[in-house]
Amino acid sequence: MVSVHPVLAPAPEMGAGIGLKPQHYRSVLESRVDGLWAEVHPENYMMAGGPRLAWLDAIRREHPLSLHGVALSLGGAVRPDRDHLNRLRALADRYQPTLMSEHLAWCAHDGTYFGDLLPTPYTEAQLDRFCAHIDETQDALGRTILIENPSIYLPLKSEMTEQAFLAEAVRRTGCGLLLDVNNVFVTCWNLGQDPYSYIDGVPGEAVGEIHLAGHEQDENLGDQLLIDTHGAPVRDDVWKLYDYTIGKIGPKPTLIERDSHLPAFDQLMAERGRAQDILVAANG
Amino acid sequence: MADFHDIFARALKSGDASALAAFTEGAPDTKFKVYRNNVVKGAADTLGDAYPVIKRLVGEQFFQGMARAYWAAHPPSGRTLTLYGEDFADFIELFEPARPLVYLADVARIERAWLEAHHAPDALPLKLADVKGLPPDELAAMAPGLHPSVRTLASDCPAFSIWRTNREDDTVRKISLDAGGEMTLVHRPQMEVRYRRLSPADALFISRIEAGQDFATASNAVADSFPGVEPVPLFIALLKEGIFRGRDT
Repeated sequence: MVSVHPVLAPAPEMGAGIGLKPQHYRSVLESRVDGLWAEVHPENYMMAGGPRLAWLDAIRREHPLSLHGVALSLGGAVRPDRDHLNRLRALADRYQPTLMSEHLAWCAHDGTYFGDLLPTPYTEAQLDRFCAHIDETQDALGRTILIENPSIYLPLKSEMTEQAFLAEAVRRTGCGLLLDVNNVFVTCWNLGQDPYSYIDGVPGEAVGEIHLAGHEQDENLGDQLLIDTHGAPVRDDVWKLYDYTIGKIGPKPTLIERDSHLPAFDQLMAERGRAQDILVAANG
Repeated sequence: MADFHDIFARALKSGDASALAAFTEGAPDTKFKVYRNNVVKGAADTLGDAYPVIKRLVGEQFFQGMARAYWAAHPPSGRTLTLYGEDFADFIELFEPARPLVYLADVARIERAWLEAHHAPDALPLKLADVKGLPPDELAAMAPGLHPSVRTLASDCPAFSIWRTNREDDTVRKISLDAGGEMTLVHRPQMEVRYRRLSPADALFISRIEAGQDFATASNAVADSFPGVEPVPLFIALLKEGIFRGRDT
């Protein structure tokens, strides 16, 4: 059964955004550049009270917001955790985010939360379960969510490609896609595939958001294995792929993700400005 | 398919990926390690952010070892790591390699109290202005309880002094363990966490209010136990600090 939810809100006010870190709260709050928006992991805002929630209230009043979940474990063996869905719903009610998203991944099993985005085999059985979990999530939230493609390090035996798996999830559940261009690059590099063909296989009209981030080489395997660390600037190869992607599917709200080795705000904003320029140029 | 998640989860816990080979293209070992490292390092880094003083006291390498041992014994169960590490101080107390550092667990308890106060529910504390015009009887009979962010801790060591200098000072002050035990107050009356050393009389007053007693009973308890202490200035100082729960919360 396909659930009916509000279609993805067009987000013309969202150009290029940044992943919001506490170190940059004040700078983001005070920034007035065109198109800026912020994204947070809702799991980092599930406390009872305190300054984080208050900062997000203030920033939300100035900028569009995206809630990018990491803990629903939609690719897991069992249904989404009800308590966690309820907390997500409460945050969505409080902050009224323009976009909400999750991952094609799992992160919890049998009472343990692993705190990482773990891979799933792309099989029919797994697809059925994944779609049921998305349906349940969209019903609980009362809105459409975007699903992000993961970075793959360990290739699993599968029955279909990742693009086909995601396209089928879009068709069955009405969800949108969060296309992480760096993850496309990393996964294709690690699996020996062509990232441009991957982009060609993505249903562009379903993409509601794009992620860009930096990757690094594995400390043991070197350039045989790229790791999506969010700890470095976006690489030139990924900028090239991003350019190609925007040319192909049109401008989409784009986020610069940075989680470690956090640069100064101006430096991060310069990187974000590069994405903004590409989006503005594409808008003609 | 449930098998796949069972086997992957077991491999994450044990570090042995051999059973995963049935599901992978090629041998899983080196590439599986990326996931395991993300999981374990992620938890250890979360603890490092929550316990910066412990990390400073024992050094990065020792801390990583202790945090990884904690993860193996107490992996996270909730879907957020914000308050991960609830049992870390108790774990440190029994962690054999840390035994010589007798103060370490109590310092960890203070760091935990800071984290809990930081994320505690927002509430208005009782203010001096709230009680100013009250008839003395009414004030004496008030039993407001504590502001939800208040945490108090008692240690047989100078845990507060050790924690404070390691938190605040680039060059730590020398603290003698002979200085004896200390009590600590951590709370967040507005948006900023505050902390100080508590006198035994302060601690007694706070514990009586926490137990639901009224201001008069708590003051009498202080007067009885600490003949040299004036309860009224003690009460006013605590009130000004925002220790008590406000009337409309």
